[in-house]
Formats: sequence, C-alpha cells, structure tokens
Amino acid sequence: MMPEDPQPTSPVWANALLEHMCRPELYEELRGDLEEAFQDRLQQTPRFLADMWYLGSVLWLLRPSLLRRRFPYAYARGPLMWKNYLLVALRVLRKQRGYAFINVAGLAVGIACCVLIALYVHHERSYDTFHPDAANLYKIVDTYTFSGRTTNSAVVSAPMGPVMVERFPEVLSTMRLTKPPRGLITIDAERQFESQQVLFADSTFFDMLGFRLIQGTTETALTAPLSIVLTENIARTYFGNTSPLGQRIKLTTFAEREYTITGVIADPPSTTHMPFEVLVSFSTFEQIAGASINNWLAYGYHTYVRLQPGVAPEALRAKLPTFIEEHIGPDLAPKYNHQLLPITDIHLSIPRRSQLSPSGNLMYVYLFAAIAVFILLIASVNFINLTTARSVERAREVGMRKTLGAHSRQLIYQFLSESLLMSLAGGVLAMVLVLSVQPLFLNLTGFEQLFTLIPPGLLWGSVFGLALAVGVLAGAYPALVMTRFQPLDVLTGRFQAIGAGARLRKGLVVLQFAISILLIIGTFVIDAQLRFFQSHDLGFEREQVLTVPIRGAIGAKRTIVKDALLELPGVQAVTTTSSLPGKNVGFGPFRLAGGDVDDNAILNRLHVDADFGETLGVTFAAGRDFSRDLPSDSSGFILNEAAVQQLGLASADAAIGRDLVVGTATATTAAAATGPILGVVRDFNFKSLHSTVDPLVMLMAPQGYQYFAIKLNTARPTTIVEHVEQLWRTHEPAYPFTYSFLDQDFQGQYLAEDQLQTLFMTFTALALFIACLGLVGLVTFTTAQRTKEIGVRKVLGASVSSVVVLVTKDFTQLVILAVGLALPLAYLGAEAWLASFAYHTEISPMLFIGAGILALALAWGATGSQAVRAALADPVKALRHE
Amino acid sequence: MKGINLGEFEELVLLAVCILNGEAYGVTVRQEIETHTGRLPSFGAVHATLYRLQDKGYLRSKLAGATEKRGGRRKRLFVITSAGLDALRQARTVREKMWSLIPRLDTLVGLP
Repeated sequence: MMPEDPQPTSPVWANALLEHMCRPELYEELRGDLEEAFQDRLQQTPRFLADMWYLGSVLWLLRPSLLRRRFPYAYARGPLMWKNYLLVALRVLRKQRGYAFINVAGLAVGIACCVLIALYVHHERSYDTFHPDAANLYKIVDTYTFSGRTTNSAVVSAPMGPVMVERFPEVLSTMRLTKPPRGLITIDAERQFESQQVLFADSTFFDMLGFRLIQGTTETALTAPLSIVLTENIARTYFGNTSPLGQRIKLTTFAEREYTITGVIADPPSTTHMPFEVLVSFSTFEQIAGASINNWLAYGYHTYVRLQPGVAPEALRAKLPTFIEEHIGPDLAPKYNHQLLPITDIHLSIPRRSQLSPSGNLMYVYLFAAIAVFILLIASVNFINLTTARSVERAREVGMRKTLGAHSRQLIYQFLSESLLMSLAGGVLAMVLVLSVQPLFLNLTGFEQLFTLIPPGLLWGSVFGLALAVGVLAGAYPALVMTRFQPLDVLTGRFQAIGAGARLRKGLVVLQFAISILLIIGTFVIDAQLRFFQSHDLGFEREQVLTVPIRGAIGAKRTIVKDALLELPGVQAVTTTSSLPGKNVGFGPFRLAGGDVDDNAILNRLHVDADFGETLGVTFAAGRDFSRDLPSDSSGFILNEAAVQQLGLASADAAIGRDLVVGTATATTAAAATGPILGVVRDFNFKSLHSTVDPLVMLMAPQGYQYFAIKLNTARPTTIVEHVEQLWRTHEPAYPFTYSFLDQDFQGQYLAEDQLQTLFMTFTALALFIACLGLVGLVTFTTAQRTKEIGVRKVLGASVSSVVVLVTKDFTQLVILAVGLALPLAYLGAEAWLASFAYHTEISPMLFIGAGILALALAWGATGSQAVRAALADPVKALRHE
Repeated sequence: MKGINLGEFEELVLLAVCILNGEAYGVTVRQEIETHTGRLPSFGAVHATLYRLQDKGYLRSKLAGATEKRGGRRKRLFVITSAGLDALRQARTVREKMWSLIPRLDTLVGLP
C-alpha cells in the first residue's frame, strides 16, 4: 500500500447498515472507532481482507444493547420496570381487597359459566364426528305423506340399501340396523338381564363406522347368523376377566334363539346417535323376518350408505325419486320423499319416527350458546366497569406519577398490569371453579368425562386467552383516558373525575340488568309452563296408575293374572292395552264402510279391553264403551273426537253405528276387517302436551296387549307393588318384573323442559349475582365520589331518607330502563317458545311485573347498605378535606 | 455488600481502562487486551462491555478529540469510577483469599 494513495474509505454498505441499525447517539463514536481501526488494519492486510473484517465487525456490533430503539424511552421498558408495575399492582389490590375480590370473582364466575356452556354446545354439535369416514357417511331418511298426514321417518325398507349399492357406483357400501324394543339375554340360570339397546347390524358395521373390536375379528364378527357381540361393560359384568368369545348365550327378541359370542366391543362414546349394548348379526334377522325382508314397503330399518369421496349428495338425491318409482310403482312413489342426511347432522336434526336416540334440540343449543355469550358479556362488562371506575378514583396518583416524569406509555403499562393481574387471577379461579363443579355438571348433562370433549390444552388455553383479552380491554380504557389528564389540573383539585366515562358505565349497567331480566322472565315462563304440564287436565286420570309390561308367560295367562290382580286390596280396576299414554302408539289405515278403497285415513290405533275406559277414567262424548258381556263388541271400534273429524263425519253422534273398515296397506295383526263404531270418547292426551291430540281408534285385539294398567286406590303403593311382584313370580319366574307409575312416565316426556328449567334457574342466578356485584362496586364508587356533596346536603338539612333516595335514584332509573329494554325481547322470545307446544299457558303481565320488581328489589338490596352508610356518614368528616 | 458479579471479560476491560489512564476508548482498550491476553476481542464485545460497565456505574465517559484518521469523528473516552475501583478490588480480594486457602501446592490432591 503506497502512502501516496488517497485514503481508501471503509465499505459504504457496511456503514449504511451501521447508520441504519445502531443507536443514533452512539453512531459517531462507533463509526469513528471503526474507521480508526480500519485504517490500522489497512497497514497490515490487503484491502479486501480489511473490508471483510470491517463488515464482520459491523455485523458483530449489531447486538441488542447497541441497536437502535424504536422507542426513545427504552430504559423505562426494561425488565426492572415490569417488576415495579407488578409490585404496585399487588399493593393496589391488597389495599382494595373488597373491590379486587368482587372483580376477580365476577369474572371467574362468568368465564366458568361460559366454558361449561361451551363444552355442552360443543358436545351436542360433535355427535358422530368420531367416525373416521364421517364426511362420507349418510343416512337414508324419508318423509312420507298418507291421507294428508306427513310423517318424518328415521327408518326405511330393507332392500333399499343393498340395491342402491348395486345400482349407483357412487354408493360404495351400505349398512342396515334394526332395533327390537327390548331383548332378554340369558347366559345361564343365574345371569340374565334385559337390554333396551339391542341392535341387529349388517356385517359392514365395523368397516363403515370405524368401530374396532377388543376381541374378535371385525371382518367376520357379524357375518354369520346367530352371532352376537357384547360391549365391554356387559362382558366385564357378566364374564369378569375371562374371554366370552365362543360361548353360547340365549337372546330373546321376537323369539328365543341361541347365539355364539363372536366379539367384544368398546362401549360407544356418549356422542353417538346409536347407543348399543349388544350387537347381533343382521343375517339372523333376515331369518326371523322371512320374506318381508324384501318388501319395499315394510319400514323399520335404519339404512346408512357410504359415498365415494367427492360425490355431492344432492346429485345422488336427485336420482332417488326415479329409483324409488322403479321399485314401488308410480302410484305410491309420490307419497315418499327420501333424503340423504349426513351422519353428523342426525343428532340435531328434526325428530323422526323410530329414531335410535332422542334428538338434541338445535334451538336449545343455540339458546344456550347465546346465554353463554351473554353471561360472559355481563362478566366482562362488569370487570371493565369496575376497573374503569376505580382508576378514575386514582386520578391524583396519576397526576403525581406524571409530575415525577412518568411517560404516557408507562402509565398505560401500569394500569394494564393491574387489570391483567386481576383478570388472569380471575382466569385461574375460573379454571378451579370448572374443575370443582365438574361432577355436578356431568351429572346434569350425562356426559362421561370433561376432557373427552375438548383437549385440556385447548380448554385452558382459551380460558387464558379470554382472561387476557378481558384484562387488556379493561386496562386499556382507563389507561388511555387517564393518560390524557393534565397533572396540574388533577393535583390542584380542579379535575372533575365524576363525569369521566359515566355515560359508558351507565350504559353497561343497563345492559347487564337487561340481560339478567331477560333470563328472569325466561325462568318464570318456563316455570309457568312446567306447572301447566303438571296441572292441565289430560282427559284421563293419571294418578295412582301402576303400569306393568307384559312379558314371557304372563302373556298367555293374561286373564288369570288380571283376575288375580283385581283380588288384591287397593286395586280398583285393571286393563290390558297395547300401549300407554306417553308411549308410542301404533297406527294403521282405516276408512268408513262404503268409502273409496284407496282413500284410507291413517289413524293411531290402540288395542284395549273392556276395562280401559273405566281404568283410565276417560269420558265419552257419544255412544258407549266396550262391554265384556257383548262378545260382538270384539269387532267394534271406539274413536276419539279427532278421529271423527278426520274421517269426515259431521259429529260424534253421527259416527255411532257407522261401520269402520281396516285398510290393508300396512296391516299388522288386525282383528276384524269391518266393525261398528260403538262409541266416541272425548279427546284425551295420549301423547305429551307438546302436540295436539291425534285421531285415535281403539279396538279389542288380544294379540297386541303389552301392558297392564292398574288403577289403585291406596295410601301405600309400595305394598301393592310387592304384592304384584309376588303374583308375577308365581306365574313367570324367568322374566324380571318391572313396573312404573303412569304419572311419572308421562311427566318424563318433559325431561327436556325440566332440564331447561334447571339450567335457566342456575344461569339466571349467576347472571343476577354478577350484575349485582357490578352494581355494588359502582355504587360504592359513586358514593365515595360524592361524599362531599352528601356532606353539604346534610349540613343544609337534608334528612337521611332523602340522601338514600338521592343515591339510589340514579341506578333505579337505570334498572327501570333495563326492564323497558328487556320486556319486548322477552315477550317475543316467550311467545315463540310457548308456541312450540300445542298446549301452553298464557303469558300473564304478572310475569313481567314480577321480574321487574325482583330485579329492583335485588338491586336495592345489594346497594342498600352502601346507600344507608353514605346517608349516615358524618358530614364533618366528609367536608374536612377542603 | 451487594454481589459484584464481575465477569471475566468485564474485569479485563476495567483493568485495561485503568492501565490506559485517561486514554481509554474502544480502539485502545481492544489493543491493550490483545497485548496482555494474546487474543483480540471483537469490536462489538468491547464496546458493548464498555457501555454495560458504564450503565452499572463502574465507568464514566465523555466525548472528546476528533482526528483526521477517524474522518473527523469524536471518540468517547472512558475513566474508571470509584465504584469501579471497588469492584476490581473486591474481585481481587476474593481471588487472593481463595488462593491462600489452598494447601501447599505440592500436596494438592490430584486424580490418580
């Protein structure tokens, strides 16, 4: 390097980088030092190497401590500062323990509720999603219309599935299920039980639905006839730890047969729409059913298909009507309307006849989701409200901090850390609450376990996220508002903190109470409707009616048993019937004699004996009951008023003496084909009050009797039950004796509404709790703000009561406003819900008035002590600080 | 007494600053350390340490003296503070004390 050469400069781009990235105040010295060192280097190494070194050094210089800061006040953000924020936050909370507790508790309760409801909603919506191929699984359902009555059916005919597989290439496989009403399983003389969850299933069951066997092979377990698969629970209960494979057991469904156990399967999860305890090979059923298995019109089979991935179900559905017509002819085809229902939609879709498990109610699921959002809203609003209010109180502190050099950003972090601390504590408390309430929750909803629904990580993560979000929101508002204050104004007392954010706070309180009042009214309405269910006259007597299902040998000895029952003390009347009010009733086609053969009305049919009318206490509108003394009555019929209307007769009297004919389309075990109408009974609710009374025909057909209904007249029903059980055992030693009471069974139809009521009451209580918490906090704050004002008023002679009125007037107005807002919404909601029942109570204005009064009373109660204390405060102390 | 926690490199830099006695800045400190330890620390390490020691209160500095070589830019000169001297002394005391507790070097137990 020649000394005469002009001084080579350091690499430009390295310098540009340095200038851009390093802290501006250090730039000059760093650049200078680098330059100096570079020049030194040039003396020893070639230019290129020196350049490389320079670049390397610059890069090595770009370390965090030397980098340009985006915010000039970097020192205020170091880790040390956070420690300070935390410390102050903790101190603040310790000093204001009451307020902190209210805030944290309110938020925790809100989040916990929201989480539980979310779990429930998720559960309901995730039915059948566990099947591996769920996206391609569909169930064939049907809506058929006969004689003007439309029925949604969950079952179709047996040949449909297999023929569809043959006919349509996009249908890969099919699986059919049929479910007998019950099955009696006999392992040996000691081990015997009855199951209501027996399913006959095609051999494609495992492949299609993705169920695996614990023991046995899926390819063959349900192939051969007389194969049976047990669930793990049953296997363990009756076989202990030994493998039941290969053993022979007896099963009686429609008939008794001996089966070989070919597998053990894990119990199905709670999110399946087809719960089962025992699976039997469908090929067995084919033997039992005989020729009707090929009848396109014989319904009773749940049919599932698997479509090729990527096939649109609508395309297939469009081909169905022609397909159906090919097989049942153009006359009948238009009466049917088949659809493809995705398997995951089954649980929440409309209820269908013969469905495998009760439908969830989509409306309720959405309702609960809305409630969850509401409660969370209330709790968060509360939190924000209280935090805001408190922070305004600390205006003076803010002024001090600003004077001492705190930057806006620091104040923001200060408030944020306080509110975050509280909200995260709330989150943790919420988790604790959820876990401790778990057993109650599982009991109420029937779920198996909390964490099968959502992985714990996701659950706690969302709780944390929620708490975080609320904390940030809550802290942000006061932080942003507070940092605008001018310190001088604040310190010299010119600052009027009262008005700050008042409008927002008031609005939030109104919202909280409006939501709470909505829930209160909802609870009242549900309660009124449930009471209505209990008390409404059903047209028959349901109290003191003991019902016993007829099984086994009892069937043949019916009349003997019936007479023996009548002998028992306390028994007033006994009847045998095919079904009971509250249970499914069969149906069939009927028409008036002389009418068009094709014009059958589909009427519900009930097989009864001559004592039915007396036992259940129904009243007649015309004609008479069946009489035991007239053998010709066995071919007669009794209609209800609805049936009279359905058949087109002018009046009940006009029906008497006319002949009725049993149509043949879906005849089962009909008695006489034609017979006279002997009587017309006043409509009675043999189904729940959800629906209007359907037309009903009663006839005497002994083959169909399924139950004894025993009218009691006793103060001690349990003794009678024991007597009946003894009687049972003497005639039927094998079948277990079961019984129930009609009023309980009937009431059981309202299970969904019962649960709804419990849930509503719980959530209403919680919402009110949270809302009142919030109100208490706010009132405390406002009275503290107004101590001086109150002091002055007292000095000027105001009475204690007038001060109380003053303090309470504000939020009383708010509550009334909330009532006004909530009423129209509540009214609409109540109307809509009640309209879904055929029989319902009327919405009385008392409900709304009651709700409003309740809300007001609670508000006053919660804040009463605060108000009184403020009113009684010593004015001297209040004015001392001037 | 609060923990001093002086790192090895930090100690070297402080010593170098003392040795240079008023002439200490990035370039010279770097050279001084090389002279005595035989390794040349990176630019970034030296400067970052100098600033860190300043933040801790062991060094004081001010800008001074532009030269042609530096393209007319001033350099930042560092001097040690009494706190810095204290820190050095403490470190040294601790070392010497521990050394004195070692049994005679020829009787040190080693691994077989």
